[in-house]
Amino acid sequence: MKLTALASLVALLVAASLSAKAGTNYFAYNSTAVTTFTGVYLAPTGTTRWGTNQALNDDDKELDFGERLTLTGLNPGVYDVKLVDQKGRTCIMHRIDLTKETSFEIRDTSLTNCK
Amino acid sequence: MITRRATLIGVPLAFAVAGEARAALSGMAYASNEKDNTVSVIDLAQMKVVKTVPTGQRPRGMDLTSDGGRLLVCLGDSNRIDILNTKTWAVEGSISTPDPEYAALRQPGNNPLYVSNENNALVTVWNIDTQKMLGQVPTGTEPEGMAVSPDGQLICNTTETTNMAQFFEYPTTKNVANVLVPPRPRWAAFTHDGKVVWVSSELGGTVTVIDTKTFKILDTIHFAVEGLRSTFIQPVGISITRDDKLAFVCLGPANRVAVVSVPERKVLSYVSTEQKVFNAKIEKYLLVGERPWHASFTPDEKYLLTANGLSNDVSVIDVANLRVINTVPVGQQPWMVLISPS
Repeated sequence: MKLTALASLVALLVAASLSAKAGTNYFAYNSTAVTTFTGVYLAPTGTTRWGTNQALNDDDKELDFGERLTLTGLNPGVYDVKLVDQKGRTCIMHRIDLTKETSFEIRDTSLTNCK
Repeated sequence: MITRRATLIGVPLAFAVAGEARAALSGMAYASNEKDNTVSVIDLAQMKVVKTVPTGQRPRGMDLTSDGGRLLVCLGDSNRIDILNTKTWAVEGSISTPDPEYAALRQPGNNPLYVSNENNALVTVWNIDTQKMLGQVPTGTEPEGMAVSPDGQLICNTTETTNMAQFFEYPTTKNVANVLVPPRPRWAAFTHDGKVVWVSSELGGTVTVIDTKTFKILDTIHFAVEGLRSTFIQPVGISITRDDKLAFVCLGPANRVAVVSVPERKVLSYVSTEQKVFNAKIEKYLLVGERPWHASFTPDEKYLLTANGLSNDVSVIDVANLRVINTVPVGQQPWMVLISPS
């Protein structure tokens, strides 16, 4: 009985700790001149395990140019970022390092490989 | 008065006269760096950053007390406004308020402070000496630009999503008018005679001129830069000279500041709301750093400094000659620049 209670307590503490980590605020700045994104997805770099559409975190469900988007559910790591613009073009930004920085910037020069 | 020239003046030429201009500059400027969480302190005589002040999270909007002794910095992600002593850079006080975007002090007297709370659809009113809230007013969605008329009797707030310039009277904060403007209004600037307010619309690419007595739209100013797609023209910051003759409008990704002559005030008040041609004629576009958001004049109005969000620097414009004479690197994503009054 005591062991079960202790295990539950440990599980709770671990969960709380993970939750606190995941609660760190990360941001994407859309510094492009005129491009609005309807899709912003992150995956551990080199994988295609795209997470949820982070653009939905914004009030109008889009990351407008000149705006900043709050990214949720992330842990420190290196990510690839898939961007989908309003015209349906998809662009990939590789190796975005969010181990030290808590934000990254999307510039017009980031959009050279859009399809 | 401005020497009027018809050509664009590029940065290389500007650097050639930088030494001459440096000698005439003095005082301090402050740039809020949104991504760095700092304020850069620029010594204008040396034309360089002499101090970097760490702040809370996401510093953007700022205002200065009339003596320049206190700098108020909106810290959107820290949910507070810090009041910094500009001699010691100590935090003298903090106003706890959710998601402050911009703040404007009523003058004279440096009180109260009007704050746009972006995510709460509120303008809150504060005493900066006691840091106590005096009131709050509901607004449209995503309140942004804050301005107080020169006589302190009218407060203007722009709401980014509901596309309105909203007006409130002092001291009751009663909502006296709501004026629809083109999309994403970001900033409001009263002329110094208080008769009109200019409201920039970032997505609309325009500046709306509103009569502050009737709240009628007197005109809408459009911008066009040869060779540049119109979508790149995104007006935000507006600075008007004390004589109300000229306005400088930061055009964001157009990388330019538009210089607009402001018409004689009495003539403006007679302009039909349907009239499409504004009396103010656009004189010139100045090529500055990348994505100028906001600008401020030096006290003598001989220079205008722009905060350039994409190139992480501040451009110094010689107003008389309409030349960019220097560029000062600051922190990441500078949003606003203010200049000490002395």
